[in-house]
Amino acid sequence: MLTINNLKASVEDKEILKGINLEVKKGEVHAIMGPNGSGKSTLAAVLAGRSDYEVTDGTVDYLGQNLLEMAPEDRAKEGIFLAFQYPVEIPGVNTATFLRTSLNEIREHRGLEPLNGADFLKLMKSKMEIIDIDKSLISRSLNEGFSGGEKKKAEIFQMAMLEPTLAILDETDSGLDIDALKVVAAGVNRMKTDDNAVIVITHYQRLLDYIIPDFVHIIYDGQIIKTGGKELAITLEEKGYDWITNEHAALSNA
Amino acid sequence: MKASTGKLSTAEDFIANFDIHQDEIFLNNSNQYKELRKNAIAAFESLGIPSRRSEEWKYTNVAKALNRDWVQFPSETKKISPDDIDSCLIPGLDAYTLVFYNGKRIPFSESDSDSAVIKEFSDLISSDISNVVSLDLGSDAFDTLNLAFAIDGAIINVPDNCVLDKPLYLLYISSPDDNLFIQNRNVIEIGKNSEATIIEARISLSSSNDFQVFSNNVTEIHCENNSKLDHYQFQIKGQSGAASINKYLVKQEANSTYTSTNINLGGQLVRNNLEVVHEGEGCETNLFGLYHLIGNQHLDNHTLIDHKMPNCNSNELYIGVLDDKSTGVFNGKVLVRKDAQKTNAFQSNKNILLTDDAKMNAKPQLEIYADDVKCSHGATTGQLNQEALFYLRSRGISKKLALTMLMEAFMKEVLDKIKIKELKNFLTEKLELRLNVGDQGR
Repeated sequence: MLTINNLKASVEDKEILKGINLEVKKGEVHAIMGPNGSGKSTLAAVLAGRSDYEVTDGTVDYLGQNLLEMAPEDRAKEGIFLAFQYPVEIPGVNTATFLRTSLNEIREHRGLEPLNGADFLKLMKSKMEIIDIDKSLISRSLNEGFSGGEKKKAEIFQMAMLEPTLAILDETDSGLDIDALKVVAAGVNRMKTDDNAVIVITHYQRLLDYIIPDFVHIIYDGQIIKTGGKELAITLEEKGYDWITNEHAALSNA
Repeated sequence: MKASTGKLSTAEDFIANFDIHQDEIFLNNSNQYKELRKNAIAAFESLGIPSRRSEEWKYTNVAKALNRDWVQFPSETKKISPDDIDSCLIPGLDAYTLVFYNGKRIPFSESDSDSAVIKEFSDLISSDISNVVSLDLGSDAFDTLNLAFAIDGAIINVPDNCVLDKPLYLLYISSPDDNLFIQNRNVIEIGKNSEATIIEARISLSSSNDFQVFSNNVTEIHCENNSKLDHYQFQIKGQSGAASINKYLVKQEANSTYTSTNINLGGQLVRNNLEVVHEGEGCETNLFGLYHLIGNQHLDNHTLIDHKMPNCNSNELYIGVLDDKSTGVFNGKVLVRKDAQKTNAFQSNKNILLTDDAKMNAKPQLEIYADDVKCSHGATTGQLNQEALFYLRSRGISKKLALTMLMEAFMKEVLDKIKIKELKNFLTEKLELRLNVGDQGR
């Protein structure tokens, strides 16, 4: 589904990604872990098409297409969804109106009829139950005045509505208490099928107790320096990032 | 015979024109009103047309806009078609409608005069001038010019204890067959305990190849004790050939509420002077403004709220989006005099510039001489939030639609102040059309 090959990206001439290689197949859950500043969120942003980052080298193939040449909206229409680490507040844009616009743009791309108001409401209701999101949030301006936890839940709710092919969760667990974390994880697990894939970007292992990854990658200084199964996350939690970064430094110096 | 109509482009031309056209100007005038006009033209002569050296006109080059041969008293004018009038009506709105075409009031349907509150302009000029609200020949050249020349305008008199059952629609259409200089003087009187809604539209139907129009209008408004006036003004079309200066002099008596909502989507050069003074306690003043400027449009909003009396509130919010090479000015002055204790005065001006060539000059001014007051003001000018744009696009919404959504969201704060559904829909539609067209040029 997604093949990242030697991806390099810079912001303001500072190289953040220094050659990322990653293969995600349908039905898989990948966790990307790493210390602060290692390039985790940059990778998510580059995949979603944020223009602040300049891709200087490498390729990203998504479902047979050159992802890097696609506009952000076209990536979304092709099924990529980024759950933002810091969802932006947009006063004056109603959450439900926004979601219906978004959903219908994506449906149109897929050759489906736009959803009418009644069907849209029905769909929203069914998804709201899964995510356990406060109904009043939907009638408010997009993310405006939402608490940190509400914003993260709203992202997962949007994901459930849009049913992406590849979901990228950028530190969705940060700022969540354990109950909210469980709800968010349950939402992700509910939408997971054999035909889609999830990339979970996280600093901590605890989210991975609830969203079980098939692969865990450790990113450090703009590169994936170690890949393993779910047990790698547990080892990392026990030994800390120093363990892996020291090991990496030793290898690099050798 | 255009030569005999007296072409104008300088102050001297206007002064000469006053003598040439005395017959039209003085028609049906009381002696007092004649004197008033003579004083006004004398005052204009000493003031002259303001240059950019004048602080009040620093950012608006009105002399340049005036530099053209204008006709003020055309010998003949073409008629406006019923279809053209229809295109200027607000769909679904039931209102008492007055139509002015190229500055002259023209008959319009039966509803034209079926409200007793609509008076004739001749009532104003033939009467004792003590009824005229403001005779202060201060320092405003355009006000004096208007007073000297204006021979038509809307005269509205809502009696005491009267709630007007439907809005008044004052429709000013221009579509000149020469370069036309128009001056209307409107006087609006809202009686004690009365309520009214007035919608004022300025629509220029001429295209860029046609002749230009310059209109210099003054509206005097008097809100009596405990009265309420919702006053909407909007301008659409004419961004390449219509200039206007609109002055509003508002006097509020005790416990009155005056709300002005100004939506500006048209005109090449527009200057709005809105001056509100509180003559009694317990007044409430709301001034809202919304503008979307494209091409070379220039809009200058000058407001003054004169808090002379205690226990009054004012609330001011102007929001705008400037595209292309458009320029804007917001000059908002709030004066709190020393007797105006317990004043609450809030003012905000927010702008988004869509291009590097668009410019905004925002100048909020607070002058406070009382000590027990709550006042605040703020002005921001920035770009569209790129984070928000990316967020919407990352959800599959095209860049074009996302830009439109964000601009509408930004302007919603003032659009939502429009309480008349038909008017809100009408202007929202006009705005959306502009936002969509504007994007193609970027």
